[in-house]
Amino acid sequence: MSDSPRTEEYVRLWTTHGQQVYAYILSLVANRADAEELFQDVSMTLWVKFDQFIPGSDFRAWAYRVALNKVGSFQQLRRHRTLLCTSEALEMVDQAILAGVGRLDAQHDALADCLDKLTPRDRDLIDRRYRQGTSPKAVAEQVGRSATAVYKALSRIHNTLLDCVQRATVTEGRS
Amino acid sequence: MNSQLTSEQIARIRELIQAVYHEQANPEEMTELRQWIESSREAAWLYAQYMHLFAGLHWDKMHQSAGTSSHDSRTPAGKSPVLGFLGQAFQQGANFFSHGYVLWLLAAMILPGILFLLVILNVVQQTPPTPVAVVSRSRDCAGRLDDRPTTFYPGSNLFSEQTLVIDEGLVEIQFADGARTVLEGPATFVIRGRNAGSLTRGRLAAVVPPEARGFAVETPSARVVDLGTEFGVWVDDRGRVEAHVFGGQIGVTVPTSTDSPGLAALLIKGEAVRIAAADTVGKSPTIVRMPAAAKRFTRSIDLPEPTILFAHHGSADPTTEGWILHYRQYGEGTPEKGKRLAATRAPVGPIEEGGVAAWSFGPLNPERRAFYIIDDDPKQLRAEAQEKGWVLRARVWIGDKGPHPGRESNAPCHFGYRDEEHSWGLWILSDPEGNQYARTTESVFGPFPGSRNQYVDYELRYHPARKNAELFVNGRLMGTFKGAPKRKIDEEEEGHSPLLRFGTYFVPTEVRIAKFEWGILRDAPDVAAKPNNVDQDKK
Repeated sequence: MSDSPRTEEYVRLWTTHGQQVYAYILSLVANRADAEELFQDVSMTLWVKFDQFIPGSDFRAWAYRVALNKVGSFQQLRRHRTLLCTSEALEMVDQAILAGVGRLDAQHDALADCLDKLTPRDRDLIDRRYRQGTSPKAVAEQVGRSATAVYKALSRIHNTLLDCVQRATVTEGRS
Repeated sequence: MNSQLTSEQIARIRELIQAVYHEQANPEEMTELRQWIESSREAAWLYAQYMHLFAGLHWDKMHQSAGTSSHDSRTPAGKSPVLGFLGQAFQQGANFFSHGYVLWLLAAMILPGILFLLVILNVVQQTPPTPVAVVSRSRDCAGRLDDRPTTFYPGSNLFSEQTLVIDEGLVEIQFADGARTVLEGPATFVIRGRNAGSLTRGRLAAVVPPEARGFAVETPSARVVDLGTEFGVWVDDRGRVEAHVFGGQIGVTVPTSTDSPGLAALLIKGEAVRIAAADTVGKSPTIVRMPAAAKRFTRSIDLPEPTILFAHHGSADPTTEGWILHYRQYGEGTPEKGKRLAATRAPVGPIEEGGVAAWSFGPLNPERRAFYIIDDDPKQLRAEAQEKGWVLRARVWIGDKGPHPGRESNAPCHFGYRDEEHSWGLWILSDPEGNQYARTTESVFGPFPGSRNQYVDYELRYHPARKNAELFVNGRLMGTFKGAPKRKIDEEEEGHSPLLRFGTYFVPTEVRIAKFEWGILRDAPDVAAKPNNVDQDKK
């Protein structure tokens, strides 16, 4: 990986697709810590194998395959506690993502606008939870609510955001 | 994906997804959600959308250190506020202009003129952060990246203005323009872009290829610019700077005041300067020329050497080196664990060809295996290896005569080490071109071009902290793997649990093993004190 143009190309592709690869991994493992660990692992594998990547081919598809293999191995080791511990479940989610790549990208693009539409109170909760990385329990202490109430509020906000990005992409598709 | 779920079912699936994501789901709820996903494409799609939403919310936090926050800026990544405004106008049509603030805003934008608008378009347009470098290697590192503890994992992207504080160990950084630096802890280094950085403490050695000429290192009292090809910079705790040239030449600039370009020195290979800031205002900094001392710098990351405990070398008979030969027949009519065959009949023996001495395994018939093993069960050794790390090396040749294996289980060569919990094995195969490739239980590496009828060096290096092993092929890092759970390999070895093994099975082609060794990294942690290519009298 010493030749500069290839390094530059890798950096460009990873910057473009890294977030989608992270989302793909998170979908397969349903756990943020595991997803971040695997994301690092996939990032490294892609980088050391980048010589095998054919310029002009679909980098994201290649990254997804590498990630799927990594997740498969990971699941074997932790079968007892993963959600998608069967090949059927993994395949269903993988297929759903591949079939819906365009809509998922559009939903991602709509997310910022949907966050802007939240009430200040909801926005504050989301900021604390995600931008500041505070655990729900700690958020509960900060805002003087019970942990259960915070979990419920976050769930409600997640539903609101998903409905919003779904609506936005449907609207975009019609216009 | 037409809806086949009822609204109640969708509500339940949403509830389950959130419970799983918040790690609040019990095993029954996990199973319920999994069954929904397995049986319903709509459920799988809903689940995928939620996870992508969560990923989008997390992403900013993950990359906060890169100075990005797409929703904080209130625009999606890649869109500027101005473009967003125009886009809104386009979408809302004439109604948009009925808002009073719109006319006011348009007037405010027109008055400063088109030039101002162009400047705004250029300046405020938000673009996603672009990594400008990557951690290409690290060794026994501890430190912080933008105040977050890290071990500087190879492959980690680095962004402009990120600060690496390396408390100990070595970190190799590959810059996007091609320069490669090795930082030796303790050191503090700020990435300044694709071809520059600031060193405020510690040692840095740089190799700069022609296309990256101009690579610059800022220090508290000097700016060092590469003019090709290799140099080192050291900043001590008092801010004194040394610049050494190992190859080519460098330019050193020493500012004498805030508005002065400063003194310039051109150094060639073998030369060095030491620069100390002026003690009092108005005086010039002290600059002393001296010979370069390449050995004061760690210029590449050499991996620590293990203490070899078991080995086979060259054409020596492995049984004279402490290995036990297992030569067995399988197939119908033989016991599950195979029928033991006379070791003296095994098609094995010494060979020396092309200047390489090796132990050859002749083609086996389809139901036979020949393996050399260390059959001890030294729990203490395994525990020490797990605690300190271990290294396994093999030099392998696979013949291109005879059919290529049709099934992966029929790998011409297999070797590995087994600890209390995992098996760390590699299967070495050859592709239709005759090139070798390696397979673990997790991944496939290769094929390796040009390896047909050639010896290939494999090295597995176990890291206790990361609990994984790195695979190097001919000295190049190919990836990592975590080993296979022990229960799997029990089947493979028919009840045996050897510490180490190497050999071949079922394959009608010749395999040669010129080296096989395994050892523990007993002296590994103290890398900063005595890396292989650094003087012991380092300051």
